[in-house]
Amino acid sequence: MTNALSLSLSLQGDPREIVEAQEEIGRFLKEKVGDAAAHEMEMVAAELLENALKHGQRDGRGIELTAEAAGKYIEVISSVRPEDLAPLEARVKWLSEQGDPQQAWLRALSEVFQRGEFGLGLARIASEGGCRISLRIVGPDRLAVRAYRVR
Amino acid sequence: MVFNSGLLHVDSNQDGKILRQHWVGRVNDLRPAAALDGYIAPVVERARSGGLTIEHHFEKLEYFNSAFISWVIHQMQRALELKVKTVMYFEPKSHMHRSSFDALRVLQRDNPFIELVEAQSAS
Repeated sequence: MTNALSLSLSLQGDPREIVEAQEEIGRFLKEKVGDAAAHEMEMVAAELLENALKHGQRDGRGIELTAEAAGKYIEVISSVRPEDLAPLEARVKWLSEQGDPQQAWLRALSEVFQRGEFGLGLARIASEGGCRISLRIVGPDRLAVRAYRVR
Repeated sequence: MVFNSGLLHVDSNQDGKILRQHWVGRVNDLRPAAALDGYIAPVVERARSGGLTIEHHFEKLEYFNSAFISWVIHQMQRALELKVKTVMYFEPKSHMHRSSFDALRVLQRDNPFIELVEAQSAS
């Protein structure tokens, strides 16, 4: 659903929907914020959706995405198991503790070199997308992850 | 040799001592390693056994996700383990490319088998 203030998409949780959502967000934001910012927010949306698919719980409530018209934020709401919430909160806390998003990105990449695995999505959103990330519970086992553009 | 997966297309060809990989399209796969490992393993083995250089031309990639960046890091480690010279080209005009490949260049400055290069013919 689109109005002057935002674009809202409902997804069922099929990975192929991510590309369609990216394209739709790109079309919605390009004329409002320009190509560069629209591309960055497309990436932000895709990484948030991937996180929801990888770490979320698939149920009938699906995934809700909202893109604010001025490109200020993207929010993804999905179902999450309580045991998956703590690692996500820890990752957001880790990110905020790093201070500079570019340094956080370098450290996240270093972790992949050292450990072989480390979720890069949120660090990429902060660094490349210039966003601050927040989490909030919006219903029973429903988590909203918002990436708010700060540059 | 050709690889296709979703919106991603990779063409491989040999030019003397160089095994060139041309990447086009988008990497949106949640777990791209599953498919890409099967494609790249014979290329790496051929380079190792023949003393060849692998060139990855990423500059035409319109989009890649963070899972793909993890896969690229694993390729860098593999290049070091197997002593296979690997050159990766990226699009310097793209904020997305710069953000990842500039950072990887900093982290891999001591890896003698990896070279990260800004593509000259970028448009």
